[in-house]
Amino acid sequence: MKHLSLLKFMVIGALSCGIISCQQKKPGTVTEEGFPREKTLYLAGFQWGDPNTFNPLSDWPAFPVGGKYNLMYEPLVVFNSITGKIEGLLADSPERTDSTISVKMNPMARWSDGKPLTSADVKFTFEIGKRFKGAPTAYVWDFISDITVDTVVDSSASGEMKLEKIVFFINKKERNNPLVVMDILQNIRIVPRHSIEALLAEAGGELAELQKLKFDKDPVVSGPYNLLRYSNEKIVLKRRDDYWGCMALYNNRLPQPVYIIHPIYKSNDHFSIALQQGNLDISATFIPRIWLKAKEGVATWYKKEPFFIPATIPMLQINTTRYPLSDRNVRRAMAYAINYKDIRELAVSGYSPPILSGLILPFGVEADYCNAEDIQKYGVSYDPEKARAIMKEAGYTSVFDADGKLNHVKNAKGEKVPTMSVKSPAGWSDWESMVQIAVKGMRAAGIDVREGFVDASLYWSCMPVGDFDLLMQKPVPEVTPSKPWSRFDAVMSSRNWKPEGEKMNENQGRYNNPSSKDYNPEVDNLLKRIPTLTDNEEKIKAYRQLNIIFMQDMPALPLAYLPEQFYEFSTRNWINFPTEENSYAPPQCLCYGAGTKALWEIKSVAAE
Amino acid sequence: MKLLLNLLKTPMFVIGTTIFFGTVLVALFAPMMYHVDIIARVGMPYMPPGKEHLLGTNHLGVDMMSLLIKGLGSSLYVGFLAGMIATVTGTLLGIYGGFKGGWQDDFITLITNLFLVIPTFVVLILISSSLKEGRSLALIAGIIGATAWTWSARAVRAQSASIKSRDHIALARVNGEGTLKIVVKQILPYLFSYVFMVFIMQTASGILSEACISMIGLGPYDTVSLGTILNEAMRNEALGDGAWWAFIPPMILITIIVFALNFINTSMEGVFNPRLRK
Repeated sequence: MKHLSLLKFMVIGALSCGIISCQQKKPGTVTEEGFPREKTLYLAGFQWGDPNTFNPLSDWPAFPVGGKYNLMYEPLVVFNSITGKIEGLLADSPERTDSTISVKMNPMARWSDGKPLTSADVKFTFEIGKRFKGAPTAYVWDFISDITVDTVVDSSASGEMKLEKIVFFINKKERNNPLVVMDILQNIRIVPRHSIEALLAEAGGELAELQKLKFDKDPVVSGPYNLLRYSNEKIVLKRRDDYWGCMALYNNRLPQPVYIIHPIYKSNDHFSIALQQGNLDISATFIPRIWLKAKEGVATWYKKEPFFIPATIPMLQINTTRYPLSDRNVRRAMAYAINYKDIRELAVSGYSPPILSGLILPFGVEADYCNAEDIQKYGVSYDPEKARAIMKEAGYTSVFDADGKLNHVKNAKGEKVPTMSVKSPAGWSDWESMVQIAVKGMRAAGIDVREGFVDASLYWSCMPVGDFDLLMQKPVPEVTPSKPWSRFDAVMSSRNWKPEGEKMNENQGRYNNPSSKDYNPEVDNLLKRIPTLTDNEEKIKAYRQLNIIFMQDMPALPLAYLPEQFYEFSTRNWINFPTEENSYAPPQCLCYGAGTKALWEIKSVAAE
Repeated sequence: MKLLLNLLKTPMFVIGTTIFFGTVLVALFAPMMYHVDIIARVGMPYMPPGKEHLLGTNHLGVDMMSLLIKGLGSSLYVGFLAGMIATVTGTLLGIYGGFKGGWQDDFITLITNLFLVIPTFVVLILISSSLKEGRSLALIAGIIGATAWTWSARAVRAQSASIKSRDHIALARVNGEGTLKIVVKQILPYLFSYVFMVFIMQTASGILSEACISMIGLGPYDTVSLGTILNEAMRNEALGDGAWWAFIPPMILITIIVFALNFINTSMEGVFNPRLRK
């Protein structure tokens, strides 16, 4: 038995000392077998669970396939959040008319097997969404009605050239939303028609069968890197020296890192330690108190507070179909019970400016639409007394134990109200702290809520089907010109309303059920109207209306303002990362949006 | 009585008990003298020790001293409860098996051996992680106790089997005393010192087990223990940011409690075991 105790003692000791020893390990040329440190960029924070598929047509492919990365598959254009301009990639920057948005394809674009990347691939990619309802591109057909290809002659100094012009027709009948069409051009990654069509035929023309393929053996890609190998610990990408963009966009220069390795860590503190040791070069994770890490060569965009560019709103999305969250009073009481100042100062290390009620950022391009009067009148702020009063007025009785802890809550009929749980990925320490502070406040105000930290993969699968009471999330975090409309749409749109259990890409809290008696058609009307408005006064008016409805109904609880993506880098092995003073690329971790171009500009310390 | 006097003459025992009861007293009475509040935020994250906050604050700006006092109480409670459960279960099964013999003994031995070869810490992790809702201190103690009783059972069984063959037991049987009476009146007194030592070690082991599972994030909900303080410190980079006050004090506390209990146990062994008696 003594041995047993000793063993346990040693376990604790080893766990504690483990961190100490990690911490004190001297940095040096940490190399992994076969990957020279000076040619390898370690980048992390995008893949949390085990990488299961690299299929660009599946629902949740692993890094760097999927939503926003352009290392393997590329979009037509990218948005540069620093300059506010849309930049060309596979195509040049878009031209917009009243009813169409068109781009001209880059004639030099090639697939990794040497075949040209043409409008046929673009059309194919989009049309998969038309053929199959379950395709990731299916939603685009609500927004575009047709895609046509013209040939235009481009005359420049080097002579005349025939270019393919792709015209996207805005779906006037359905959504009539040019903002989203612009986003779509950045969001949809073009897939190779010639290889996928063959695979689709092999799969018997069934998308569900095709989605089972992993695409992990030398896939045909267009981006500057391709998958070399992967395991549950890391994903390794190798540079493609024949990447078309080197010639077409970068004066025949190659990206600096030969390898990009994405290690898969389990919690935020691992990233922080790895960065400080120089084992990780870039991280998209939350790192608390970053100013204390400067001496270890860890830095970010700004050198001073708020350190990052705030652009998105992490929030607790509420499943409004579940009792008692279906009661607006409970949701409003929750919003009053959260100590937002504590969240800002404690959970996110002051990286967030003070938060105002509503879904509009009170700074930057959205500031125009944010109205202080409305917020004063309809908004909520931390006021636990008010939270208690609302609960009481709505007929709820909170029963506290003798030591002041909340035991349970009863409703007006005397029935026990179910305990609600906040689903949030385990290991995301900033979110965990935010949830903890929110839960602490709500429990103190007599609202029976608990933390429910779950594995990241489980978290992602619960989200679209609405399997949660409250869900911590950051809807549409990408900085795009469609903000704040797209944020409202992601939280409040009931256009595609489906009951719990079926997938919804937006409004996963199932707010504003169109078939219920409380349905408020004004929300969907405003969401439909805003994208078509060109007059700024009109737009301001519409956004104000929408924000007021949000503040009254509280379908979600905004907690802070955070950057699109955290962006920290270590200067131990690589230098010349984009920063406020050296803003040649936006802070996008070198793997998505316009941030990828920094791969060509960073320099290896060893090579200097 | 003589034994107790002998014990008190052992410096190891005196040191051990002084330290241990010192921590118990702190856990019991400190909340009366010190305003313990583990909810309220009193300052910025990781404020260093100072006049206002003797041991600084944690990552959520909560007073560390409060957390430690509360955590100490919880850890001792879990340790005691787990020790109690493991000792009582183990002793009862052990005595019964050892005394009764036959298929009952075989069965209990089989179960004990089965549990012995299963790595208990893994079982502990599995059970704790499967209980997502309402992991209270008592439940954690119950889980620890339920996985730790095997050692006590096995050790006590051997002892009671050897006592069984003594004359006075046979005499009691001849007198027509029932099994329960014999166990309670004739066997338990012989085993008492041994069982007490087992209890002390089970308590120490309970405190460590709690710290272990809390440290890996499977500890009790809604309360603070020394293990959960360490877990929070680890996850919120106390070490990276040089906030030693967030993890060194709980580590010291766990260490001294377990050392004190080990001291007590070793010194008792010296007194109770005739072969070790000086």
